[in-house]
Amino acid sequence: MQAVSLAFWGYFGACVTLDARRRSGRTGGMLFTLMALSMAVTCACVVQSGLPLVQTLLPLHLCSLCALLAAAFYLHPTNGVYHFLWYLGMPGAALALVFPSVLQVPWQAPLEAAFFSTHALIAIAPLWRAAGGTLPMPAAAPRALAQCNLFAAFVYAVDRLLGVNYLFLLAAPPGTPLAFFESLGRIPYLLSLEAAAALCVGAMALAARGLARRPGTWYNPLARDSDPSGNAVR
Amino acid sequence: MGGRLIAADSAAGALYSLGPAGVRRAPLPGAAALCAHGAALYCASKREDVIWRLDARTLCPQALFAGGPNVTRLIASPGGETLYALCQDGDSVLALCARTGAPQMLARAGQQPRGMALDPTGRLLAVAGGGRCEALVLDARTLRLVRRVPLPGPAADVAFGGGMLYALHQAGETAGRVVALRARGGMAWSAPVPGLPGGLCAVPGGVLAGAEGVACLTRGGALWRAPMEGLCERVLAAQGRVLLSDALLGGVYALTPPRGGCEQLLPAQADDLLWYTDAP
Repeated sequence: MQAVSLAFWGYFGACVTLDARRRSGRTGGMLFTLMALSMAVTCACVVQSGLPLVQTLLPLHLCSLCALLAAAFYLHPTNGVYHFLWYLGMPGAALALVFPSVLQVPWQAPLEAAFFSTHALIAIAPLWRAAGGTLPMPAAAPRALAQCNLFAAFVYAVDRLLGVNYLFLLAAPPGTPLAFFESLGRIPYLLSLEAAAALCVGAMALAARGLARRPGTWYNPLARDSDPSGNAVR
Repeated sequence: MGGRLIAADSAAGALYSLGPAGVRRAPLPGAAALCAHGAALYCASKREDVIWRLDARTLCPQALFAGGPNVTRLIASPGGETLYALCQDGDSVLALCARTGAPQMLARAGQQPRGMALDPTGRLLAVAGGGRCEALVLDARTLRLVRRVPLPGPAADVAFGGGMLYALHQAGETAGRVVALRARGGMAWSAPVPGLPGGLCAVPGGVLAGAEGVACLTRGGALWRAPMEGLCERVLAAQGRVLLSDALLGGVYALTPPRGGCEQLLPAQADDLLWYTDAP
């Protein structure tokens, strides 16, 4: 299932990116519909399973938040959301695709399909924008990390209040390297999460720098028409 | 949703509109600088020092404002409420109310300034200071000087894009150079362009520089160069092609880079070009 899903969404992502490279902004509506459909299927599967909704469906995991942001982004691309998705959404979703962790529910097959499509569409969103001619700015990396920390602080408070474990801030997912850091104590564990986020953001900043050095291979500089009010790129 | 190329030819005293339906000619004495906002097209007349407001679809004049001496560039603010006119012979920038044409502000800008650009937020206005060998960044609301960037040669044009200010200046007798300046000061990169400097057009990730031909320049170097005879004074991107006007030999051309051909669209000597997309 994982290999087939990755192959399909990899091909789909390449097609969308190439299309955006030719003429930017045309496929946003279609991608929004797919994302909305994926999220609806996920909700339906979880609700049908009878699992406690507070512990599973609040958009307090990074990917849940990014899914909502990506859906809005496909309709109205903004620079702030673009950089958040580039620096945090894309690496997070890519990790989830490589190391999937899906809830066990009666409707397992639709949930798994929705899991892969949601994460793939999160990862595709910033690539779709970059192929349309708007490169991510390396200078936006610190702001994305700060936004991530603010979000984590909010989620930590919610976790403590409701006794849930969104963003794995209170306990590490079993069987992952994070379990080792958790055994060292709360502070080393939280510091390891921070270091992982900083590593992701740093790696994506390097990727953004690399894109800027080889722009022609990634996007078409003539994908957008000049603005009639004075030729500025908007 | 189609688009049309609108070209102003001051020598012929006409505006040309090239669309899927063909070429349309509308007489307008001294038609030079162009810009558009919404359904309104603005055109400065070199002959009478006035600015016309026309219906962008029909090219019929709707209103007439007093302009300035030899307006070579017109820009509309993002909201469409203000028009900025670059008066080459007056060495100044004039801000006008786009609705009534009432003058709002006037600021000195270089010596025989040639190019002007408004940043995407509409807060900063850059002017290529011509013979003063500098690019000026003004506050678009007050026209107060924010930053002065000295350049090694006469400044031909400026453009904003991707958080950068691009300036094209002369660098030697028959050579130009594009300089990319960061928003907070400092040069990010620069690249030479062969021939006398013409015009700039910002594109995603870089800039199109017109000189003897057109080059697409980015931080990593030139993506492609399309050499031509003449001087490409106005350059713009539309529908995956580069549209340009030759100021020396005359003619408006469409170029399909990097290896595509060059096609003459109009035999006119266009002072300014504009890509207008009709409302859906």
